[in-house]
Amino acid sequence: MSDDRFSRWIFESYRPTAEGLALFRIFAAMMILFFLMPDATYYTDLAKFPDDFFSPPPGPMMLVGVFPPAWFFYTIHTLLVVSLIGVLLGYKTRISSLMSTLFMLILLGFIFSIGKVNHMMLLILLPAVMAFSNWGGAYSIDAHYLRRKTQAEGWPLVLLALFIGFMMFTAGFAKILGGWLHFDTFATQGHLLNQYFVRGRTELLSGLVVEINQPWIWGVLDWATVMFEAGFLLAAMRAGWTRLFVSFAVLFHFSTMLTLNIAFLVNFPAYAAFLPWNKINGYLKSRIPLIKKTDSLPLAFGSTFFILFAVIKIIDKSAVIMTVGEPSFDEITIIGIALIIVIALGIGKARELVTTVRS
Amino acid sequence: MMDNLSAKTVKRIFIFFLIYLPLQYAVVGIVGYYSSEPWPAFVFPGFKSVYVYGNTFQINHFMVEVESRDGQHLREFTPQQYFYEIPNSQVAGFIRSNLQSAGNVDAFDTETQRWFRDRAEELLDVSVGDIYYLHRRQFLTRLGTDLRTDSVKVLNRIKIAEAVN
Repeated sequence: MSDDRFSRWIFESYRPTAEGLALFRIFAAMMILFFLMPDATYYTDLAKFPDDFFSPPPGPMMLVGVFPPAWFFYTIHTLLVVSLIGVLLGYKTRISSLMSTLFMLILLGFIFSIGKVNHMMLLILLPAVMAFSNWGGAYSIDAHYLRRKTQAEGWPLVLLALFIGFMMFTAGFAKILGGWLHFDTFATQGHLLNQYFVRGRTELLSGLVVEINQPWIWGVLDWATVMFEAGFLLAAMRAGWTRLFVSFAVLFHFSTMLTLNIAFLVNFPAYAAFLPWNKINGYLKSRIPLIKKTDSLPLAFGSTFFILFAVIKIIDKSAVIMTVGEPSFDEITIIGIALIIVIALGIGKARELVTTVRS
Repeated sequence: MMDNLSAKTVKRIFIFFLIYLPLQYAVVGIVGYYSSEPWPAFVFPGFKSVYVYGNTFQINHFMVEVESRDGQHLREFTPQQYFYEIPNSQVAGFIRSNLQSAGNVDAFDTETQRWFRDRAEELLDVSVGDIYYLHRRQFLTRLGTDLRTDSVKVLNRIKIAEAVN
């Protein structure tokens, strides 16, 4: 890649506005606070486990010999909440964002030292990467007091796309090495049976899908999964391709949630970074008559999501609709809404294409 | 609010990550092969294992088997039942890291063995004897829409806690 193309890729792939990034900031902070915080009720159990259960993964957690006391977990958890509220309100946004990443690293580092790493790096990285986009440059306490226009940066979105693409590639490459592309093996079916019979993930459509015994269907699913995951790295090269693959990712997670009962909600705040936030901001400004003053837009936007997320959370916790834990009501609802958004955006894009071709 | 990074610094950040990402992946592969997956790392789960070969399937079952004080089989628990506070997404990995690789009861100190016994007694409400970790593999064949068990093989049975006299 020539220096010129390299620069264009980094600096011209995305042209976000400060207001668009700010809406994403409010959305992402609220989504993490409502749905993706580590489970605080687990800390006391973790602190009580025998020292033998402390099995840190290779890395910095090996420097620690035992689980810390419960008060340590609660302190870091509180600091994480405070820093995320800082991100939400846009108060010292860059520092708050970086601190959010640091506190998530510490908390999850201990949680994963039980002997199993969950793959939540994208969630952890998101605030740190977006800290450099100036997502606190509008609709924020910082912007209110600074009273100086800050330049929104698009390169953090390219970096985020690169991280997503690379991490997806690692998943696809491992599958290739594991034999997913062999014609006589059906890995997707194997994982489905494993989740269904061994792990007891028998909700939603899993029972129906377990009964499917058409080898070609399972073979196609194996190949499609590998192509999608491995191909994501190439998609990071262009903004349009990234958005297309992020849409595929939403569809992919929705289908694995229905069949394998695995909902990978942790990736969704990062996927949401690629929504057309500039257009959303423009739409809100032009269509909602109440929003005349600049300050009332983030308030209306934030309040709407606060109420929506609170209702989802209350329904989830009260278990009035669903009593099962995996996938939970909030995961099904949010991933379902994400799919509807992707379909709506896809229809919009298709209409644009048709109009362009006709003209 | 801090200033934006210069274009030169941003380019350096990208060059760093374009070199770092594949390198760390190689390290993850090597360390993961000999030990376990490092953390933090820029990787997603591979789910690379293949369990289905034509119409035959293999399913691993990991259990905790509890004996009575006189050495009789009392009950088996799934890991989700026995380690109920550990999230479902982590319990299989916990078993792999802590029990599967344990080798024998000497791997656990008295505090840990007491924890296993206390948990068994809490679940069964009786005084318990030895406790074992059990790894079974079930071989199945698909017949139409049914799964037929061909055989079940015990791959590993490790004593994780000894009865206290």
